[in-house]
Amino acid sequence: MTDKYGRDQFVIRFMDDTEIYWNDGKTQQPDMVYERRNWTESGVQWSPYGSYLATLHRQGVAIWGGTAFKQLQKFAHPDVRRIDFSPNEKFLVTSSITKDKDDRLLLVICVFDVRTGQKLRQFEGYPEDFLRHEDVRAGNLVWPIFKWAGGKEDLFFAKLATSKTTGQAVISVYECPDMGLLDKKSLKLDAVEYFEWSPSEPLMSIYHRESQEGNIPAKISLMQLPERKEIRQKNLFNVSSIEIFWHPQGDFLAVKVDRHTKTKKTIYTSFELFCIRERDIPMEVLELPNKTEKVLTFSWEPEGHRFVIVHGEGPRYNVSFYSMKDEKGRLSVKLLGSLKDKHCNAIFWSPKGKNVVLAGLKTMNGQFEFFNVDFFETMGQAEHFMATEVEWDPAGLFLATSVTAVHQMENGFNMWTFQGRNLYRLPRDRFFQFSWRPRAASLLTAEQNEAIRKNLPDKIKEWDREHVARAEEANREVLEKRQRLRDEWKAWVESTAEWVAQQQAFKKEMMGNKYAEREFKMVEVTLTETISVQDEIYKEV
Amino acid sequence: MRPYVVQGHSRPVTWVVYNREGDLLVTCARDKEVCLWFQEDGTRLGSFQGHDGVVYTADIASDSERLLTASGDGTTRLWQMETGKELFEWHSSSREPCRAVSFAVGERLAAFSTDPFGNNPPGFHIVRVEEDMLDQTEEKLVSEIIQTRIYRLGWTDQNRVIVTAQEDGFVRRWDVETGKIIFENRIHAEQINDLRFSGDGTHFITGSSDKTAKLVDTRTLEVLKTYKSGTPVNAVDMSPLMDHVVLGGGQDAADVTTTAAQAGNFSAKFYHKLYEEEFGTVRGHFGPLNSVAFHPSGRGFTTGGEDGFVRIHHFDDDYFTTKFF
Repeated sequence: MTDKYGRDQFVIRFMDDTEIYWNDGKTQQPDMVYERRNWTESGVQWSPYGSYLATLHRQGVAIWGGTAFKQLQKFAHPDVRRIDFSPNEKFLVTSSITKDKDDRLLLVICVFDVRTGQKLRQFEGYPEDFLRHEDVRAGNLVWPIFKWAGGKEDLFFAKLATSKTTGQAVISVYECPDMGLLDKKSLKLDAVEYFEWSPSEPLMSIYHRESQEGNIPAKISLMQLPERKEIRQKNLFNVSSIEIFWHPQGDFLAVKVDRHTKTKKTIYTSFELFCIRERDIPMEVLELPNKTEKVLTFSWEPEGHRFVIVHGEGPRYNVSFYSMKDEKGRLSVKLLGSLKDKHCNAIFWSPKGKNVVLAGLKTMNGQFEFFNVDFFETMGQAEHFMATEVEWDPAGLFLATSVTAVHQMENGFNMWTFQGRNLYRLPRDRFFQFSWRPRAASLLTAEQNEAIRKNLPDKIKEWDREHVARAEEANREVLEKRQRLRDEWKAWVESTAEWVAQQQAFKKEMMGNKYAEREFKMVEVTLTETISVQDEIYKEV
Repeated sequence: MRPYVVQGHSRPVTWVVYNREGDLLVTCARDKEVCLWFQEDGTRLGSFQGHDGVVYTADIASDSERLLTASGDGTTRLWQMETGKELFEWHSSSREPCRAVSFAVGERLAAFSTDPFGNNPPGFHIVRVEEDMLDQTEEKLVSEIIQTRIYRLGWTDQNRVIVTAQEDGFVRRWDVETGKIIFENRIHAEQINDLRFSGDGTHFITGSSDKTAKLVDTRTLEVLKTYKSGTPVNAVDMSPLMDHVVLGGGQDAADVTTTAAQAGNFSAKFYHKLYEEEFGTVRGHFGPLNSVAFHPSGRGFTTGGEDGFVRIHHFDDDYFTTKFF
């Protein structure tokens, strides 16, 4: 963050080592910041603004920070499995799964104050106390169990669990910082299947499934907290399943609805798109031209109003880009364009929008297409064979693709520019994790940002000069290192001279006349062969 | 230049080796045959027939008169290169497969290693090679029983020492007269698949299933350089001309799935010998590479693969003129 070159950090984990680097795009190499063996037993995790790096241990969690990565706080929680920071880094949720004496699964979830290290509340119970019993029966341990409300303050967190009295799924919302149940009671709602907070405010989207044999239709509702006010709802019929996608800044909400026909044989997909920022939350419906087409993924543009879906029947898929605004900025869903027959099954938007990477992972072996949505053109194509993970840096300038230890071979990561140029590769055997350090929130006002933008051309010149100097220095370092290696090698070779002479003498003695290279001469032979002779009259032109 | 892709074997190729002048090439394979080729244009001169099992390795005498082969049929055989006639065969004591074979300096001695077989432990043996076949006997000067199998071996220190690359990741120096270990060094985490000496014998390169290749001092067995590959290394050699080394390998044949040929990374990778940096790959095989050898002049190289093909490469001029670093 305080780096004078404005570089971003990332952490990698392989074998027993954890290493933190600066990503230096200019010199095209990583610059090591910190390394430590056996730092963690089961993983590391950045806090949402990158202030802390949390390490998991058998005894609990430790957080580290500062330039030297000193230990800042410890949180005791035996056998901790998963951790989760609140969006503003104020609280830390830790959880463990153990077995009680009757061999039942026992969950322990603790909420800590990150700064003081104080345990604020401990929840203990069986899976039904934290999950819907449908999920428990299916063996799905849905994480996170506690979902944090978005916004500038860490105000609420909630869980969807089985009610002890009715056996129905209920949403319990807890309030910070006293950790009590909001208004001392859970939300009374029917047939709740799923909920998700808006990333930007205490607003909850809730999916109620169809109930009473279809007499009560399925429903999507938006509920504001702590008022418990339903500000918008939408009934849906013949729903077989839904998926909820919040826009990263909370501007929009997309609900992917899979409907079945009366016979339940065919499934067709449509999208219900809510525009949260407008009055009364207007809604648009998007249906694909071919309704029965399978939709693979959906993804909102961060800091933008566009989205992309991948659809088709495979093995190649179509990628379609849509905008939520028409030319005049009014709300309407508009198709921007489609790309046909792409090796793509996953979408990764740059965190700043505009650029997107179409990735073909798993069965597509790691193909990447770097696409600019503003100009609607492909900037570059690349391949990282067998890549399993893809992650953009916080500035949207670099992309890291990695092959983790799920594959036996070619472990390590590749670093690309946003245009798809390979900067460097770092092969590491038994590679587990790559994670960019998130950036802190900007402290600048809009005017200050504008001023910076104005000065940009001068700044760029300055940066370029710096960059040239640094590149030269890096080059010199490499050249010096190579020279050193060559000198060392030469010295080593010279040190063997006596021994070599001995061996040669021995060889000569043993092999006698066979030792000498047999004489051979290169002889150039010219052969002329007359194939036939023919007389022709020479004609003058 | 496009390589000559020659198919003289019906099963995986196990070993390729040039003669001292570099005009001939010998290849061994699992199909019991040993083939002899002109390296210049890939013409097959003939084959050495007689083995009744996989042929693992071969060594050519420096005058190209004789050839030694080690085979899974439990014999190590001596051949006349020119005629393809078998001159002699040594049997392992109870049909243990013979793995590595090497002429001593002067070619009056040879060493070969045997694999474990049934209840019999692995070993290595030293025999005399007579000038006149009438004097040749099957007597073993040294026959040592050891703990782990030897994949490759070579002579050094005026024929007083044998260097071995073994299954347990160790390289060892053995006293030829007593058959005892002088000293050893565990340089790899997994088995060492290949070993080739430099021209002057001061150092050698090893390739291991632990996905690395290492450059090792022959006298001290200290590791001088390490080359990291993402895949198991089955084959290694170093250029006699440039500061280049070549690594061959790829995913183990048993692990190869039905994914694209690329999945296994079946390529010959070139590294700078001193900087340990990779600077080029040559693809072509559709199975792991089992053996690779540089031409004695450094102007070409040959690879032999699990796919049964032998690829004879001659470098283009730009290989010599390009500044890779």
